[in-house]
Amino acid sequence: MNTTIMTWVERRGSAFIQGRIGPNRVGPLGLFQPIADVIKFIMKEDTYYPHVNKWLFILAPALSLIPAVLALAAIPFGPVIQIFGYQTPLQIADLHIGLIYILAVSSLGIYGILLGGWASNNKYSFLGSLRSCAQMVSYEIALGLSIVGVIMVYGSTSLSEIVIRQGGSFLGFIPKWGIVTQPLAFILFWIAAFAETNRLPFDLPEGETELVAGYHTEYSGMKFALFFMSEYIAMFTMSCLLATLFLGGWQFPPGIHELIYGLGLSTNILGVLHFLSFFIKVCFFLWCYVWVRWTFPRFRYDQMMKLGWKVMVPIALVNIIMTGFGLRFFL
Amino acid sequence: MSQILFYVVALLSLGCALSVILQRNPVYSALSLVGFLFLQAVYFVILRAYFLAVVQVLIYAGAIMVLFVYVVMVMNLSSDDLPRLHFKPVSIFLGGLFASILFYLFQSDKPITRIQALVVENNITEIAKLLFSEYVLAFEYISFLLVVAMVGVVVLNQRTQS
Repeated sequence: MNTTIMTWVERRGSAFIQGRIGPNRVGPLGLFQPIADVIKFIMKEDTYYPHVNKWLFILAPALSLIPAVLALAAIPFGPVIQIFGYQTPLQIADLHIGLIYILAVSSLGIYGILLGGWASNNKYSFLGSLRSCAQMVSYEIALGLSIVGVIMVYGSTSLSEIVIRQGGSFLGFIPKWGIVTQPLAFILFWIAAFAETNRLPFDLPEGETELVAGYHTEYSGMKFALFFMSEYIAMFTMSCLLATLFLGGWQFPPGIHELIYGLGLSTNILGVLHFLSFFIKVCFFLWCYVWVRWTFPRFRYDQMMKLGWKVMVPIALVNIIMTGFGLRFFL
Repeated sequence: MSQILFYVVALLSLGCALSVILQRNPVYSALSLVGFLFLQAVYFVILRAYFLAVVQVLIYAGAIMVLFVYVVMVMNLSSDDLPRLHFKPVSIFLGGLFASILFYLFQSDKPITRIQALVVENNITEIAKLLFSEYVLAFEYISFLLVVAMVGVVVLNQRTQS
């Protein structure tokens, strides 16, 4: 669902940025274009080549999609609501190690790309998957280290716990969100999130000008669509994580919080409003993905590695030490 | 329910483990090892040691094995390139040694108490408490060892480049 809408947003958004119209034929504003795309993907011939490694070739798209979907399970979309008298949190699995779980599961997504490239037995695919592998492993470190600061400040690895502790405000108008308490971690995490999802300016695995289409060059039909979907779902997960860790998840901004709670609404309506608050934040980050994609050029490979290892990892380490001192002396 | 799950996972992981050593193609071997390590995480989930399970996936399946698979794929050896090793007496001896150690461990009925800390709810705090009180020395030793290994790798790499 999210994928189909995002493809539409991506195409219309890119057209908007480049001064084009974009897909506008199927349905109002071209909104049914994604459905047409899905039908096209399913109807398309599923091509095999004699030189591919058949089993791994079939396995790879599934291996890249499953971790992406699994990671979504731990995202808290809203607070606890009541359905037919039952207390239900708007979260599929409230794990007390939710944050580490998401990191672990999304680190498995590499295998899909790696296998896809290798099984295709094509030099472009293979180069693409090697690049992607090196890139994701490197940026995972910066990603993990930047989260440590957030865990230290909010004292929990459970995502729902972190969101609850981001409620309230300093001086009545500055929210206690991660972006205020951990601005450096926010920037690092955001950059690493772009690299982890293989999006521009870090889309070296599929750099069209160099590698045809990267690791999925040999794929067609629904198998290609699975790779495509897993990329978009990974984007969605990363946006959710950004919103959860740094923009207070489903919390309202301080002023609006008092306003809405002053109305005396029932728990369920509040739940829906909280979900909307979360959704708007996620949409902002998703739009940034599209925005950045059509704004920045691609990094060169050595530049990207230098940024990851020589800039982001040291800054993340410094951030952890600073957070430690901050917690020791100011709280 | 968890018993059925245990037997299914046990069979699967045995299959994976056998395939690690029996496959001729190194890529398949490495992939079977990934599967095996992932199934080990499932054991930890059955034991309710969620933190261990997640760390198992994150470190072994997600990081270390990715590099293994990466290297094996870059070398892209076919089974003909590999020398056929004949270490039969040695391997029988080592296998026997390992089996007897395992047998000894299963025979002795020492109660395993420390594992309890890994099983309680919210075990991340419990593990942290144990690590920084009772096992703090071992913990520091291991970190020291890792730092030494890391510095060693960097030094060795630079020597080969210049």
